[in-house]
Amino acid sequence: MNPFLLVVPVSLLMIAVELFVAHRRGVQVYRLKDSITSLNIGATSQFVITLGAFISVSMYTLILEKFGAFVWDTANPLTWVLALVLYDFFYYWVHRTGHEVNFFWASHVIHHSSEEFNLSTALRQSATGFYFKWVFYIPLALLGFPLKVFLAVGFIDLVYQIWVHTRLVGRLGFLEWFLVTPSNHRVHHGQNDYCLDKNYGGIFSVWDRMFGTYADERASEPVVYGVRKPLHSWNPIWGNVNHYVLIWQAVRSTPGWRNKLMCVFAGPSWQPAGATPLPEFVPAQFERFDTPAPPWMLWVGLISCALGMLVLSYYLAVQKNLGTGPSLAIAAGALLFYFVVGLLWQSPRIQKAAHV
Amino acid sequence: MSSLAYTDGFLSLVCLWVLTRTNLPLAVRMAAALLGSAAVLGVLRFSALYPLVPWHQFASLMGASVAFPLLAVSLAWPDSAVAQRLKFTVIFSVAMAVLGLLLVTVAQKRMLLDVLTVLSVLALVGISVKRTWWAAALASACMLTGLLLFAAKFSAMVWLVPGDYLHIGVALGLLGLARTAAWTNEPLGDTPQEALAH
Repeated sequence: MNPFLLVVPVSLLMIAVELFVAHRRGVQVYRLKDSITSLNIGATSQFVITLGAFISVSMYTLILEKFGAFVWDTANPLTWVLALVLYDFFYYWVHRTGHEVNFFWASHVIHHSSEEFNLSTALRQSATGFYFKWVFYIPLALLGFPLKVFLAVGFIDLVYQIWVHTRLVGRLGFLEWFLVTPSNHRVHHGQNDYCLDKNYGGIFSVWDRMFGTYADERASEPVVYGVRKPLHSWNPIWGNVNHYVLIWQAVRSTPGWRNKLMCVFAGPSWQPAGATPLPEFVPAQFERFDTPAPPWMLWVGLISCALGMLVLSYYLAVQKNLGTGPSLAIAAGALLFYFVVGLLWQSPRIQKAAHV
Repeated sequence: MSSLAYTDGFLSLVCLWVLTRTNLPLAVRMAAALLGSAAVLGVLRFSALYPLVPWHQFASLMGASVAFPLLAVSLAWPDSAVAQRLKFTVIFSVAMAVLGLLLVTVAQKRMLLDVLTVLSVLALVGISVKRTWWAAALASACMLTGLLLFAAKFSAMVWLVPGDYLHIGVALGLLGLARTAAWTNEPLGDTPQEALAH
């Protein structure tokens, strides 16, 4: 069975629990449009990644067979522990690269595009990261860790990261020293100056401490979630391609081939010499993105999201037995569906009607 | 013990020496580190001390697909980000490593990788000659000769096998290039504001 099939109901259940707890405490941590967009983006990524995972698995297998040096006893728990720790170490570098190299940020930015921070944000995953992430895990194949170990620890690392996307859990004492927790992950999702390029760890925060990218949450300065170049869209497809378009525009408008290369490979905020500096970020002045929508439109969003989740569950259940053609057809149909839903939500006519 | 262990040992020592030369561009030292890793694994393999054959093959592949292009870029554009700044040296290295891996494991076109390697060393010779850095040109020519003798499976002396010519040629080339090429440590003219990520 595809393990991601379990992630859908478990995540929805966790979201329901978070909503309930937030309601009991009288705090609002969800906004309907943002959360539905997160779920739609998550579903979009799953439709694509089930196909993209083929690249990761194939490359890992090829390298393992050709260059894998050692044989590991999978009955020994230490094998799994070591593989998990090593996987998490390489995850740190995948993640750091995803933030510090513009072309890879284009893939990862969608995860940070939510201006809320809740369990639905965890599902807001990129649909375009599969083409480069496998490269970072080559050392595991060279060490000879079997494919099933690689896939299992990768899944554990991913699932662990769901629960840290919440505002409802405070600091966790000594666990903050070595684990990724909701507190230090809130910093990672912040756009305040002290949050930028911090806390890349997946399960263990020790990598951040080792490589100087750790930052503690500050009670004196509440985290403002989101990114400095906001997405301003509810469309999952546009969310996935938006930053690639921005890079393309920057490459076209920047003179000199060295500068053009820097637009692609330097950090996301790189600017050529002489460019107008970016405006200073003032947390108190930040306004979250919103668009007016009539109540029926919200219902359309909810129903379309539920429908998408059902189709995704069916797809994950049967995908193994489908041929490439039908898989591609279902994935393409799903992407079109989400694109249309995104267009509807931001239709000027509907927004105008909501104002009236 | 095979002669390859000795010549790999010589190459390892040269690479170690290059690695310690902090006035050289980062990319040159990265190339030396990659070639040196392959050479150390070669010593372990050919001396039968601890043969890690798959790792030696992998490190050799990395040397071929990453180290020589790194040297060529460093000589062609000594002040470039790839030559001078760790982040961009790593990005370039990873990109070339992926290209090498894809050529060898997926496309199964080892020949294309060999062509890429030879073109990189030819570029070293060409740039040196064009800029009249004759010592660098001679060093690059040594490297090219080693590569070509290895490719041609040349074996004129009974106590040297083709791999030895490769090791000696690359070692002499690296030694010469590191001593003579006009590599500088000048930073780029741009002012990256990378602290403002997101």
